[in-house]
Amino acid sequence: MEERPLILSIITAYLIGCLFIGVWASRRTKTSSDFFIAGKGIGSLIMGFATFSTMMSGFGFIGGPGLVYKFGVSSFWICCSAILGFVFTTLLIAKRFKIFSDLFNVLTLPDAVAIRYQSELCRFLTALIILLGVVAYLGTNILAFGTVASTFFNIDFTLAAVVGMTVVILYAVFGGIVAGLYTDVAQGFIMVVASTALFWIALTTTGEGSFSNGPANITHAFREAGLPNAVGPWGLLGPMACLGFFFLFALGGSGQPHIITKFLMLRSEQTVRWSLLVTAPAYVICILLWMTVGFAMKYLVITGQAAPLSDADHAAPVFLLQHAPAWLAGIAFSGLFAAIMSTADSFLNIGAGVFARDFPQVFLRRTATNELRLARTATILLAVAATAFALWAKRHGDLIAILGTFGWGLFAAAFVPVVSIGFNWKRATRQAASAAIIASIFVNVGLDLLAKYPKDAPLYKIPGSVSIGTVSLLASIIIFIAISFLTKPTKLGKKLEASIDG
Amino acid sequence: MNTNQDRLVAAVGVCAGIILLSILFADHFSLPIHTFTCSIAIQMLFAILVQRSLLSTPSAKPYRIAYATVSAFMTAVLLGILSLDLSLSNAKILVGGMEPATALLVFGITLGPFAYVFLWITTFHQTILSKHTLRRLEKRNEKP
Repeated sequence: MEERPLILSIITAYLIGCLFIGVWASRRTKTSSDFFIAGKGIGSLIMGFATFSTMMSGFGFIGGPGLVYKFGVSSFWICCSAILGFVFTTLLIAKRFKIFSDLFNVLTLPDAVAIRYQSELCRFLTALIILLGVVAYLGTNILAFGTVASTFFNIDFTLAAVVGMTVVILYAVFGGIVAGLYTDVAQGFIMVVASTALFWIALTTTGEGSFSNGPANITHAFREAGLPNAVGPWGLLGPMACLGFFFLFALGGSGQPHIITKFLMLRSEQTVRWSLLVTAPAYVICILLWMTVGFAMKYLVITGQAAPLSDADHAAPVFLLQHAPAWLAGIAFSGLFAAIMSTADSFLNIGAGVFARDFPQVFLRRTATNELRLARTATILLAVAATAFALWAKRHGDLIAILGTFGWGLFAAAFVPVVSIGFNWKRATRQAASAAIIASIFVNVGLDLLAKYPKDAPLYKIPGSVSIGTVSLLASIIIFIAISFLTKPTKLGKKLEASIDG
Repeated sequence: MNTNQDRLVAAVGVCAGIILLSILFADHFSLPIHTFTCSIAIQMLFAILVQRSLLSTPSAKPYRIAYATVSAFMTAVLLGILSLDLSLSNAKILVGGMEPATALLVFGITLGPFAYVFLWITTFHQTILSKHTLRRLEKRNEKP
């Protein structure tokens, strides 16, 4: 592609911009409170943009079109349900977390859980799940970054992944969550522009020059190619899998620690009122890319205008390279990197919180002497570990989106009952919280192993291609509620009781 | 199970149980039966959680009904997708270039939640954070 230098310049400018924000934010990061919760100074606009850009990760920008390419409309149930997810997350958690952060010295999610259930075991289990999920989810995003960058720059995957993570480490280490939030805003803006433009190009391409003909041409082409189900409401995975996605992604959002910890950062209670007004529309615009680019790429393959892809996750980058003008490809690639990096920095931050804040509390029964320095060191170590995991996962040929779904499912199963239900229900007990978190690990991992081994005849597969995350979320909700009723209610202090009632 | 709150959470557990059973034993029932059962249980669970997160003061009652109406609307969208798919799958009619059920998914599931957003913003002080609570919290946060 002759215009490659222009695209490269735009991407380089974007990456340098992220580093500048990191340098600027480092001056505002003087305490661990600044590093983890931005000194509780975040307003509606920043909150709204940061929430949606954190949610729209590499899973959304790369894995999403990949899933559409592979399974058709089935994956719409993931992205469309996420809007409802924002609503439920805000309804169930926003006020409660804001009150908790005001009444108690809460900097991390395990902090909040430990105070709510008056249990250090609950803190440890929460921290453990966060670490497991962070490595899996961060790995997903690194894989996505490597896939895009190696496809575009024609360089080695490992080199691409390492360069991307280095930029994230640099701004996340020095600027903490302040850098993360402000880069999220910039990244969110780039994503909105890129999604809108790509949506237009995808439908114009499939409509053979006419935007309005795009969807109908896709529908007809799929029917003629003998894939009518791909454009039906359930796609190729079927109704139960789609209803499972609907449940998991609508309710599961309220269990994602990188999203819900943002509610600890709010400047005031009023902030939560307006942030949803930014988050929901911005996300709707972004999923236009998810819904159309995968279909457009498949349409081109079906109609013989493009060669079949070796990997479904290449759908978005290949479409960009072949069909977008250079300036837009530059912005769109920046948007893809933005989606990945905005999620990665949030995960690094909550992961660092586990090492700097929660493990010292669990094992030493006190806060670390230099929390901020420890947090910065932990950020680097975590990024290195996650990159190593991602490179290992790549060798095992896992699809990016499947890893993303696993990470989402694990968080949802562990934290929806413990946080979304437990923080709104006085009767919830520490035994129930511990059991639900432990169950989330065993059900997720257990069902995954049963579905894979032995390789020639797996022991058990969930009927209807329903995702493991859905089943584990349901199981942990049932376990949490049942055990709460069966165990003696914990006596809550007045302050704690008021914060659950408030 | 002493309080109203406990009963509602128990209902959430029952709904979760029904969804889980409808997934695990999907092969034993016809498609319409298990998909309709699962959809209704999912929406019931969501509706209960939404209602539980709202204030239970008498002044909040009309707004709670408004939230319940939106929950009912979202249930209708989900059941509408199921019904349209059963009756109009592969039909020649297209809505916005999509199958009718697919169009309902794209527009209904995506845009329907904006009704919740509207209610959240417009009824914030009546249903989420009363002005009294807000004043109390703001007072606590004032620096000496």
